[in-house]
Amino acid sequence: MVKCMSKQAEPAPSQADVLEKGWPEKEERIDQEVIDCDAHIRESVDDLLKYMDDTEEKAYVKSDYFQYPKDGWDRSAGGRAGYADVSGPEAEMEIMEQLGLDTSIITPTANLYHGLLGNKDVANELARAYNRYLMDVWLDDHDIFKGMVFVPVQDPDVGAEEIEKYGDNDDIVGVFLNPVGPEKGLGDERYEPIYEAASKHDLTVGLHGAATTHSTFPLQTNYFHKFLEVHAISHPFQQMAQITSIICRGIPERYDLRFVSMEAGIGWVPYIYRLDKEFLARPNEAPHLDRLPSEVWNDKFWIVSQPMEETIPDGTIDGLAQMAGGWDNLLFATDWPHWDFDAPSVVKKTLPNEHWSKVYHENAREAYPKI
Amino acid sequence: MSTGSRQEHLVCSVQDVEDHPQVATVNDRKYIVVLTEDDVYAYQNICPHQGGPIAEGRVDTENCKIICPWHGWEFNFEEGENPYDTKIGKRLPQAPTVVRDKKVYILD
Repeated sequence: MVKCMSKQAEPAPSQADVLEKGWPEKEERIDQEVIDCDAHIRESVDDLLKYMDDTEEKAYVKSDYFQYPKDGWDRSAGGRAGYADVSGPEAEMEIMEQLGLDTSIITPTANLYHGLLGNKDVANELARAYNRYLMDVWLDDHDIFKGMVFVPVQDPDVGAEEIEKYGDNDDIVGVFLNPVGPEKGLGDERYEPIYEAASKHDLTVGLHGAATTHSTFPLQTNYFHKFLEVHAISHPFQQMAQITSIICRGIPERYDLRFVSMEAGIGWVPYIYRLDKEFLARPNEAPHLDRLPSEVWNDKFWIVSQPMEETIPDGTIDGLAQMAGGWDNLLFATDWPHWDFDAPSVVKKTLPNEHWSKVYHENAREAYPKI
Repeated sequence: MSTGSRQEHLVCSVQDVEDHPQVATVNDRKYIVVLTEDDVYAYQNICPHQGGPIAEGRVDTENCKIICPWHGWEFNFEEGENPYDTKIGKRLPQAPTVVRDKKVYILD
């Protein structure tokens, strides 16, 4: 049977005409367990309002004055790339079926920019509401989803309280920490209540950046012209900046913790060895470190491969993986529904097959033991 | 008509594809059909980058490009080639076509 239709020619597509990502007839199936270590949802303000206490912060969030900080960059590249949504658990389960995923660690979208909220009281209320929403809508009735406690970088004590509240729940596997917007690097002592609580509950700390628009620690992205430039540099640079702070201030040496670098790919990893060189010349400036930063990195950090740099020259991926702490430290994530998501097949296309099982699921169970 | 184990399937006229690139579904498989100065090409609905549904993406008829809706990777109408020197995602998987009596057939 043959059906045929005209393909609309659109040399300059309208931005208002949002293109959906769509699905191929046959997605390449992965014949083993796949754990998605970064499965975004698109939580709305309305979703969170239902879980806010009746405070003046709720009234503000409900008002026309409030909006989540947004970076405003064009993910569609002028209408070329499609948009996808995850409206709720049913939609996520459908996507997991399409992509062949067995377990998804749920992560936010609007709250990637939570660190940019200047009103600490609102930031705290929204963090509390997100965690209630996460538990109620996503985790309580769905074993295939796992979650991370969201902590406000504006108020680490409230972050610690949130970890105390949910840390022993079987479905909570980690703590979600924004590298964008904190007043000081995440190795600063003000954040230690978060690390102490995470360590107490044996939770993994995930660091997940965002693009941002303007002058925001640790990157002034308005310096750049296009999203290509901003997105290429923002996630890796945020990881470099915060991991520098966390390692040099000795957080992983003083707290029994695991860390995961999320959504920055692996191309930036050789930077860690620059840190070694600096440390060797001035170890007195990192008094909590008794070993090289790269040793701490290898021991305490895992790294999410997405967005996989499948474009790197042949023969170099093994060296990068070694610098990332070895093949035991690499995790798979889709990042769906975001524009630069990875389909699970990218692992098979890019990495040697003897490591596929580690990357698809074995390493995730080491990084997040509660999965 | 049968060609080896494959059947010829009439999908559109040359005039149709001259007016617009076409999306054809043959035996539940989707193809995108485009016209260049020299030939008609049909490509399977699988982006060689990460497997995206290329037939559901945009086409840029000014620059003769097919653009994948998953990640925006682009491919020339002619031979389905990626215009850039990348080792992966080099070329769209092509489907054999026959043009006869100003009609386009896909072999499937």
